[in-house]
Amino acid sequence: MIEPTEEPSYIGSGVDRVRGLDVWRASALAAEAAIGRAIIGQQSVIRLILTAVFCRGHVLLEGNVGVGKTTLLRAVAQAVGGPFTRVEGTVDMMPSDFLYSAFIGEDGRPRVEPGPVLEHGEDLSVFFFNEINRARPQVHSLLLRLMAERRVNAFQAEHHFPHLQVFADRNQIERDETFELPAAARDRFFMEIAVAVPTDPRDRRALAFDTRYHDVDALVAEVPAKTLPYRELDAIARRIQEAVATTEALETYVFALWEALREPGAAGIEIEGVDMARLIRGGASPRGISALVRAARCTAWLEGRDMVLPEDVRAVFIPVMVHRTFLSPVYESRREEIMPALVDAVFARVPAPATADPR
Amino acid sequence: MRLATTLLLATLALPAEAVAETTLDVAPPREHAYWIGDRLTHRIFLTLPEGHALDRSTLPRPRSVTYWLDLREVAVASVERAGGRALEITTLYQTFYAPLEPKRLEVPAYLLRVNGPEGARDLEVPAWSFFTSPIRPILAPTTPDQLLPDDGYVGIVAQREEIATAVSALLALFGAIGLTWHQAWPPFHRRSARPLAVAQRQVRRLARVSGEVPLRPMCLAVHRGLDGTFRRPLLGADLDVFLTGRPEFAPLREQLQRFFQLSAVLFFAATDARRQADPAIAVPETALPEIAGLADRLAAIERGRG
Repeated sequence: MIEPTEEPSYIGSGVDRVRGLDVWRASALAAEAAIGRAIIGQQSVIRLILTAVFCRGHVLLEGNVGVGKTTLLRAVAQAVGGPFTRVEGTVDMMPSDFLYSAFIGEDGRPRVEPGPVLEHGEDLSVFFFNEINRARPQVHSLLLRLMAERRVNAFQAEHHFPHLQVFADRNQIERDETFELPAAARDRFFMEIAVAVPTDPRDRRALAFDTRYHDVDALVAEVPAKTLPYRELDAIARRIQEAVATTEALETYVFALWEALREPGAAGIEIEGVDMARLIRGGASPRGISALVRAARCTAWLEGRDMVLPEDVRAVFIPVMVHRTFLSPVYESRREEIMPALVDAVFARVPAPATADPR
Repeated sequence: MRLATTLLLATLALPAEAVAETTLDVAPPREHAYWIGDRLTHRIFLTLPEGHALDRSTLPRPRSVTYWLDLREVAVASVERAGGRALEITTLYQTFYAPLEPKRLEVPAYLLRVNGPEGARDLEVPAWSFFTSPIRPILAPTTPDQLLPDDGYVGIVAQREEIATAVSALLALFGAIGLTWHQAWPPFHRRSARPLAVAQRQVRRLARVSGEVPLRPMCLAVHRGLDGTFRRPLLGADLDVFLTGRPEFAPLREQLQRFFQLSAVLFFAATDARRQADPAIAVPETALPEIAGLADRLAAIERGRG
């Protein structure tokens, strides 16, 4: 791994414990800047994806057609480096299509070779799944195991992918011939990030008229490759989690947020036209809340702090928690309207630091 | 018997062919058989020549003529009479004389003025008289049974009205209370909340506590004050949004930033043991007066005295 070339400089570093993390942070910010130059107007999305990369979490991008989801993921994959493979979700895709590639060889005999997941061996770094909602539940269940355990069984052997990170995207336009991800699969995604058209008119103008943004391959090639070597990321992720402190006050804060999201009615939250007692069908899971804390730690680290502030929790709350919160069927169709209101109400309700803090 | 008197009056200073007569026919009521309280109708028929008119202001006015006689009504009407028009002047008298024996009473004469081309002229309506008699013998004994019985006593039962009054009063009271509440008039008015004043009081109280410096509770008090002012939990990252919305606090920007840094160190940095070992995240000694000063200035701005 890369050794630090200079002493840690940011305030509040625990000095020895995070020795070396500074350099990684500089690399992360450099990669963020490079990706930001290629994919303009998506700074917050890039920050969130990098957070997921440094937490070793899988990412689901959601957004309209043509907003740059795939380009963004390719740019990130370029920065992370390592072998990557890409699969397009289709309605007739079967789990075996992931693992095996069947064809007729030159000698006229049927051949079965390793498919997309296996072709790069256990070194696979990034697994792209485009239009994940077009694949059927059988495929989702294989993906579930791949995401949760980073293992698959094929050719009568178990294959392990220690560096694997899954990036998936789905568009929200079509509903025909699509399959909603099962709750278990959604919960396995570390983050679900909404990608929208850039809000800044200058960015939008550039995207329309600047020829630089028309050639996606050249754009992705601009991102320096392998600035975040994928083999190191697991270890770095662990060290980030160790280096960034959380205190009892933050635990109280996160716990209060969790409780308010799980039982908004009991927390006194009201949303117009919603029966709060019936709203939440499945609350955020313990896995979700641990992901929230991991993401908050990583955000704090990227911000140059060794302590998690409530702001860090808030910055990652929507991408980490919202897709793990399942609403009653009657409200599920209004999810896009209800969830932002619910999250806003939760943050308006929970003070930080709380007065009830025992210390 | 009806007494009729015709007065013939020749007009003066008029050419012969234009001469017409002014006649005053008097038709007094019958002369006798009146009791106390009876009404007497006296009529006059006045015929005037062309160009003459009665001065109506000289007509007698309804009044108490004397202690025993009232003039109740006076009416003037134009009537057909002897092939021409005449004014009929009707006066209605009422007698209140209680005689001990039959007695003649005289109603006095009065003057009427007639205006003509030759000037004004007065006509006298002559006095007239009638007989009135006692109602009963003067010596007949008076006994109580001659009196009419009193009307029966009818007690007024006001219970319904009393209940209605009470209900109306209650409704009015509730209505007044409701209106006062709805209009937020005192005592239902809400003074604007002053969360920062509350924070200032708490900080001052904590500052007086002896022993360990209560930095955390003081910080929390200020946090709650700021939360109340922002109307939702104010995080350090929201400071710019807060100051944009409440520019009166902008002069305290640096102090607020320092406060949030201090609060982050106090609540969210590593444990106390580690903090003491690391000077970078140690709490400065000036923290307490800084928080107290910040609480004072925030409260002063909140009161509009910043």
